[in-house]
Amino acid sequence: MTTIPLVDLLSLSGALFALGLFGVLTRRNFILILISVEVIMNAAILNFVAFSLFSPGPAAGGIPGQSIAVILIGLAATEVAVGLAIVLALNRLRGTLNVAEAIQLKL
Amino acid sequence: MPWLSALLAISLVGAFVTFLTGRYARWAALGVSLATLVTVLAIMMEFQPSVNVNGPGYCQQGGFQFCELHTWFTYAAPGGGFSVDYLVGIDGISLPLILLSAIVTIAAVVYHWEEKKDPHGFFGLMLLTNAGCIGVFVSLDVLLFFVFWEIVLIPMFFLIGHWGGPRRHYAALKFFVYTHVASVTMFVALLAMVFLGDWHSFDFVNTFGRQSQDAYLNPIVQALLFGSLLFGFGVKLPMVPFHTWLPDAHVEAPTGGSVLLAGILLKLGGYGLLRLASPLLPTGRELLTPVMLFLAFASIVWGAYLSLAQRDLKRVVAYSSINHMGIVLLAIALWTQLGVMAAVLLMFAHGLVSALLFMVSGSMHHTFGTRDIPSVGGLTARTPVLSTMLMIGSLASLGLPALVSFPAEFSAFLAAWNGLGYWVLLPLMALVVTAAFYLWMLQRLAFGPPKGIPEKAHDLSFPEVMGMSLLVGLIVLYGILPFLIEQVIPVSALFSVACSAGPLHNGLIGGACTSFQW
Amino acid sequence: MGLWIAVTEASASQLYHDASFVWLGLPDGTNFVMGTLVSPLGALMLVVVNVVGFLVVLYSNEYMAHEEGLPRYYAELMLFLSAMNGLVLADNYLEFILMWELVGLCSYLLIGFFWKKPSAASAAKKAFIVTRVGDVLFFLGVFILFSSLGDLSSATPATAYAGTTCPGGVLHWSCLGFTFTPPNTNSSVPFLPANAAIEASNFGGSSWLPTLAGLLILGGAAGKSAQFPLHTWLPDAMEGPTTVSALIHAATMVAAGIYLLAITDIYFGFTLTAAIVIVGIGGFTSLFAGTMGIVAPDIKRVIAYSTISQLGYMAMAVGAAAVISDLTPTYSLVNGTPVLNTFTGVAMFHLFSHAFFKALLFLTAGAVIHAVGTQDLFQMGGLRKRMPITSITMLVGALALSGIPPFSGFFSKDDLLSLTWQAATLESTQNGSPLLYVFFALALMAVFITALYIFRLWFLAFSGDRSRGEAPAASHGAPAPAAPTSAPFASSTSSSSSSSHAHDAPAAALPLASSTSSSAPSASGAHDGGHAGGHDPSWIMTVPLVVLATLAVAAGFLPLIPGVGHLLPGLSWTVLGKCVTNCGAGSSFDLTDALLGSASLAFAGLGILTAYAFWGNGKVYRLPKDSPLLGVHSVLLHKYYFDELYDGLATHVILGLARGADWVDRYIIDGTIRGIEELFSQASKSGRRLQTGIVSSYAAWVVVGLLAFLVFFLYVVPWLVGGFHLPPTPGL
Repeated sequence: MTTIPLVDLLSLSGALFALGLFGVLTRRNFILILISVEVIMNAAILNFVAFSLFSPGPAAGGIPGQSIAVILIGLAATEVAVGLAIVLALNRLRGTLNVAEAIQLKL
Repeated sequence: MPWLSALLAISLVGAFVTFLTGRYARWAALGVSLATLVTVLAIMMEFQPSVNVNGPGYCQQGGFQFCELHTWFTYAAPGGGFSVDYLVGIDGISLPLILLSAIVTIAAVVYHWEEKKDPHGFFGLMLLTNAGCIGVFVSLDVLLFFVFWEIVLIPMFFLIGHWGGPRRHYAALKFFVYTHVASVTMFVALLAMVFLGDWHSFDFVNTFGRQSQDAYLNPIVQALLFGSLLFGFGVKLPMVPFHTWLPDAHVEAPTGGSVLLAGILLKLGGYGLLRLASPLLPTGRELLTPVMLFLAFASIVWGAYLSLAQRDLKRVVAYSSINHMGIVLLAIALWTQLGVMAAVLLMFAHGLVSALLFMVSGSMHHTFGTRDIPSVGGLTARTPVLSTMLMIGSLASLGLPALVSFPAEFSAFLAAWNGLGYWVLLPLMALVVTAAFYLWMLQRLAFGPPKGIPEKAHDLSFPEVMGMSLLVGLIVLYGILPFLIEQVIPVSALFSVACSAGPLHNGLIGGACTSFQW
Repeated sequence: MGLWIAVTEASASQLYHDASFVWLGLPDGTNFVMGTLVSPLGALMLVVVNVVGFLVVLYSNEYMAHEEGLPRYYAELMLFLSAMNGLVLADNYLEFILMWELVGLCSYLLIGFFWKKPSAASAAKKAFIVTRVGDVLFFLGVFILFSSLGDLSSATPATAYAGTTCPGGVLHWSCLGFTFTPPNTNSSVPFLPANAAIEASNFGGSSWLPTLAGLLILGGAAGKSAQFPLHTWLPDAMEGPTTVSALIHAATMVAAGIYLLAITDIYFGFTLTAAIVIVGIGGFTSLFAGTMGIVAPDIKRVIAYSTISQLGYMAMAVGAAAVISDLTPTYSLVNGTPVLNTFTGVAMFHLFSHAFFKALLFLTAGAVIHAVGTQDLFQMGGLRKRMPITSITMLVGALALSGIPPFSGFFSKDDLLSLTWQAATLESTQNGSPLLYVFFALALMAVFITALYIFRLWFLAFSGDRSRGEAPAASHGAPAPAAPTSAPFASSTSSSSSSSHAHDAPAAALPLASSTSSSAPSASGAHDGGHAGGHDPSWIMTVPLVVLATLAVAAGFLPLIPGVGHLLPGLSWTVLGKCVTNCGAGSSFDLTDALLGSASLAFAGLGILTAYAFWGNGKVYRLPKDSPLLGVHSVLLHKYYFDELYDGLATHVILGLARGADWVDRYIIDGTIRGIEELFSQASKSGRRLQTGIVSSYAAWVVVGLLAFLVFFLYVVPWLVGGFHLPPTPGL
């Protein structure tokens, strides 16, 4: 079984993270920011999976990285749910999805 | 019977129940405060004025009674770890103040019987303040002490901010921020004492058994910690120059708020110095005694002189409080047995007297629409009852014998003479000024031809009279028979002082503390 | 009740000490107790307080009948009587102070009885504050005694009291004084030349500390007994009802200061220096106050000055007694215990007789005021025919005050002067200081002055044909204040009014009709129309007058009653040098004493004659316009400007300081706080700009923070700790 070197996996994860960060900082549309956050999240999950390949398993007393990845996927799903709910509410109340315009919490 | 837990439970739960009772709030408040008072009286019946400190349990060896110790959680760590406990207990220093707290609260509730603005909130907050104060007085654990200390702040903030006068928001914020800065300083110092002193728990009765922190903290650290605690408690006391929140808060606070503020809250500062700062950090105390004495003298003289210059009756009483609490600080700074007793007695006396005087100023505002002394006169002609109450309060405050302040002030000055010699002339002369401003105020307010009194001015209402009469009765009772409350203090005062005589002091009783026999 | 105790005491001839209870327990185990002690001096005071008290209450039934607030009046009067009895019966200093302050409170309340009058309210306040100054000194004196002598259970101090324990608690007189064993009783060494209690050894070797304690106690006594320089409150206290003046400000409360000095001399003693100062203050006050009495226009104030002056006599006598005790202490055996002889009985004798004749003078003055409706002497006159009883009883009082035999004042004043002479002689022979002779001379001059002012009063009120008030003729009526340059020798000028005694000026300035309501207490103002002409009051008021007049005669013969000798310790009743009873070991006739008595009698007679020469016809005498005495007169009328001085001190210095302090408090101390507040508020305003609300910029800050965090932990921390070591990871 050939293994992908850890460095490659981390590079990919780093690239994804940078991409997501770039999206969060530059986009004004709430939905696009949300998607970028998801990308960052996936970079983190990839990291966990990558390290789990090279760390001792539960039998050896280590922490199972893959199980954390699963939890994180669930977390990402809830985050999207909450995020989209906010997007909907924002759209209904303000008629816009531009974060630069939604700078106040109160109406 | 866990008396103190019962007391805390009654006052705390009662306060929250009162929030929910709507228009029956005043009955609920009366019931709760009566129940609190009855519990306190029951505790007094059970209290032993001289306890065998060699009895079982370290709590009793610390001179405390009614102790209850429950471990909340423990944190095991290399080097001993920590246990966080619920530890309460009382001695002769805290008992009079608990009684005072219950009395003043009940008087304030009765006085405000006809409160119209959100009575459930008003009474609930007053009871919560009382519960917090009682909590401070019974705590023998730094953490618990601080929790209750902070509980007191919040209801008082709302009492001033919601029910206060025209500048209430400013005053409430000033009160809160000022005292909060002080309590944060105090908390940091307390935690530093706990961790640097290697306590392994937050119970400070332990340290009585160990006599002091001298083995753990070097003098410089002790002085720093004591200075921080002095600041923390001194703001509450209040001592000059950290006193300016007091007149503002009093002027804007509703009457009941002022009554609780002057009657109980100021005592927390003195109690903290008596209970935490002075016994636990003996070297620090001895190093900073000159500072304390200086600040005490400053408070006494400054308070007296400023009262003379005020026009607003509430400000007069507020500055006279600074004067009296200066005497308390002086008595504490002396740190002799007589001094400690005098401090406790004086706090008790001042609680009753200043509560009465603030009620009078509140009623004056209520009746005449102003508290400005020069613009009203001849009260005796139109509102004789109010005038009589004003007179009794003033005479009590200036230390007339047969009223409660006299034995307290006499002991305080005697202690000061024993400890300081001729320096006592300074506060004694301030006593003349105190007499002068009260009498001058009486001359302008109570006597002379009626002036500035509206046609519809009515004398005190029945609840107001009842609230004040309670205080007047006790002022006279404890003035004529001071030993009724005084007899519980000496043993605890002696123990506190004897067990914390620092190295510089050469120990009046010194190391005999651990094998103390009464 | 008080009389009964006094009689019992007189017959028992010993101390009666009741069981007492702990009032205030001290942490170190010493206790303050409350108890009762009937001492000889106290028994005498009890007689005074309760007899005069009863008569005054009786008299009040008519005198005060038209007043509002009578329940308050009687309640305060009764409180006063009980407090005064408590003071006399107190067995320790703390209890004494407690009662002392309570009588002060009653005095305050009763002076302010006519509280609607601003002047009465002001006088009440003044009385309280001035006596308070004295009280503070008194407290300090007691503190000194307490800390030096108080703890008798410990062995270190008070070795002079060997063998005495103090079951009654600290500050307890009976165990400090009466039963102590004098030092060296059984040795051939003579007694130490001082009272044992105030030996320097009891004060840590300090010889000035006991002196200071004595002086501080004198301060308290001076406040209560209106001695120089704390005398200013007593004339103003005449704002109260006349009955109150008679009871509190003549007979009893003001005498409490003298009583304090006397018991302090008995139980503790005064050092020689302190004793000489007491003699000086007393002698000086006796003359000083008397001179102001010569010009005062208000009938009650004249008597008030006379009270101050007589209290000065008593203080002087206590001082003289202390000087004698200090210089030649003698001891006598009481129940087998040697007890220091004291001569305070002389002062107490004068206190006793003074109480009656001064109460009499006040009550007769009250009757006059009641009848004519004014307190202004210059508007009275010719009352002798219409008020015969009043005039005769007042004459008795005046003669007693002047010291004319056989009235009581003669005997007591004679003994008092003789004692002072004795002290002065001792002092000059032993220490070569003639100082006491000077004070004695002052006191002797005061005899003349006393007779002068009291007969001025009597002549102005009773002599002549008719009341000037009825027909205020320009020839001898009160001059208009608009012409102060004429400065009549005996008249009120409105310029004399200061803030605290402004009320008596309009009385003199206005015609009678309006002055009655403004100058007299509202008592007389309310109903004087009924007896404008003036006549003797009904029996309710005359009975006390007659009884007091009888007592004013009889009091002088008190020492002749068998068995009361010990009530007046050290008093030997002499008449012009002939000792009659309680004589010492010496000869029964003393030439010096006879000469002194004659001299004082001559002075008194001269005073009466002078008064007769000036005012015998009942007319107001005026100084000539170019008289050099005008300046003196003005100073006297302004009461030596003490009121102005104290008022200025109070209003300008103290109040000014207070206002300044208030400014500092508001703008500097609180200003600093507000400055800090402003600082934070500005800081938060600038900080607020970061909070744009734009999510992206928040995210950018998060990234910046993350980077900073990474840099800190990856580069700064390793650099600080010197290297960064990952733990070896297995399997990598």
